[in-house]
Amino acid sequence: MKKKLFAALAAVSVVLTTLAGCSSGASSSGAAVSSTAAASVSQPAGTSESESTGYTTSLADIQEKGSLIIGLDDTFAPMGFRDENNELVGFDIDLARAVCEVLGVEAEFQPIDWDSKEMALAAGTIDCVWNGMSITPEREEGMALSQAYLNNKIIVMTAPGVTVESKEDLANYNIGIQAGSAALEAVQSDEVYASIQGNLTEYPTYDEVILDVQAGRLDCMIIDEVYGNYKNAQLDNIFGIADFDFGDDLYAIGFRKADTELRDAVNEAINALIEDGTAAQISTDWFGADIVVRP
Amino acid sequence: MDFAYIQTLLPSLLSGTVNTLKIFFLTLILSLPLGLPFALGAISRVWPLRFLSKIYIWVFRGTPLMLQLFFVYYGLPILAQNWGEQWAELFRWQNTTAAIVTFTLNYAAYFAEIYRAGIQSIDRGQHEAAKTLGFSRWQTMRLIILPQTIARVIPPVSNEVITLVKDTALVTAIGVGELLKAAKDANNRDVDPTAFFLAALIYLCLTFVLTLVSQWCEQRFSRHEQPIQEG
Repeated sequence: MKKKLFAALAAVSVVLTTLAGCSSGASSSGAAVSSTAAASVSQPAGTSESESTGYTTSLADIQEKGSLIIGLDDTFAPMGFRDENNELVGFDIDLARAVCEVLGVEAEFQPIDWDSKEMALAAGTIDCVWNGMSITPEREEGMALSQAYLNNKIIVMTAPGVTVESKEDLANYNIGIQAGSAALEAVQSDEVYASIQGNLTEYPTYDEVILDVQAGRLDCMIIDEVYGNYKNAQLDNIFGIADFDFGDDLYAIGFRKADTELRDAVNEAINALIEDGTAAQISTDWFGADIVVRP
Repeated sequence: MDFAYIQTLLPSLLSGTVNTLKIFFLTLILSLPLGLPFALGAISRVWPLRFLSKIYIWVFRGTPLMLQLFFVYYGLPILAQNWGEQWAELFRWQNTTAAIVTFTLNYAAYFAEIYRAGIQSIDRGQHEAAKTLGFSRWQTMRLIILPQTIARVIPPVSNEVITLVKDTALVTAIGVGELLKAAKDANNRDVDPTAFFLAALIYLCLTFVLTLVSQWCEQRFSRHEQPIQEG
């Protein structure tokens, strides 16, 4: 009976978030946006399960079965996505593999429906959710979260030859942004919005924003740090990065509420990788810079 | 339906509609006449004219409108940079301008084909009769053929015009805010699809008015084909 209820809740939340996701444009950058939108919608389903779950996994269990099953949305570049050969690649994929190596287990990636990730955890089909997941109060309530390992803050990236001094200085430049993005939300809730609204143009995705920088119409773009650095690395770092930002967005790994021991082990492994420089190397590979958050 | 919520949505949807209508009317005013020279070119006896007109129609009907929009807006200034910044500056049009230019060129190609078909549907005998009466080729076209063509092309032209209303939604790709974009924004913000229903209603209102206009035009321009009424 309870299972049916969950299935119904999941179905409703999938429908709602599909509607919500309509406007977020291309799948790669859109996933970053819809992951935050999904959080609020799927919250009821998430909280109801975390209370009813009895399934737990310890580090010993993982080491015994030999693999950590990692749930992810496999369309979220640059965190986890498919390359030309349909192989999973991404920053999170590389970091997860490195962490599993420290733990002495295999990393096993399980693509999941992002909106029912709490359910997949509760059902035991995955051991953790690891895919550029933002820390939100709802998720802190429903899961055991790892330390923040990336800060996907909203930054200003400038075209070659452009220097933006401050938020107020933005009023003097043509700015591009993705419609419906977390970056747009952050800018709209900032008090500087009124003065820059007139020179802020919304595009379906950041690909069009970058095209219009290349066409010479835009001076800068407001973008989340992870996706911005990923694109910038592909463009041989032509963009500069302004000294100010529009707020933090911390990424963490989500475990079952009861699995704090496994969570602590993963935290330790991440810190070991930060210590020995592996984390910095993975970050540089994907973002052209080391943007890993130190605890 | 929550009436208070609908009221909060209307200002943004209506300002989106204003943009939609602006692109729609300017494209229509420019592309309806632009189609004619290409139609006449395509049936011209002068082969370079015929060749150029056919190439034009082929290119603009043969590629997606979205791609043309990208080419005009992003592609032209990026390409022009190769010839120097002054050229890039020349082609760096505002997004609304680029949208109207692209839509006009695209729709003129479709209208040209409709006009050509309309002109060629008029009986050959009329050209011959006009020639015997001493009309020049241009006089025949202007005074005899084209007036009859108008009545025949109105249904296919209205079809394209209604398509144009809906095609305006493509301009969000180059950062122009219009009706559908306003609805998407509202849905994204409020996680409530009401704005989509309202947008659909607004589009339907627009196409309803256009249908009425087209019916009126059809009657007005086919008076000569109606039976003479008694009394």
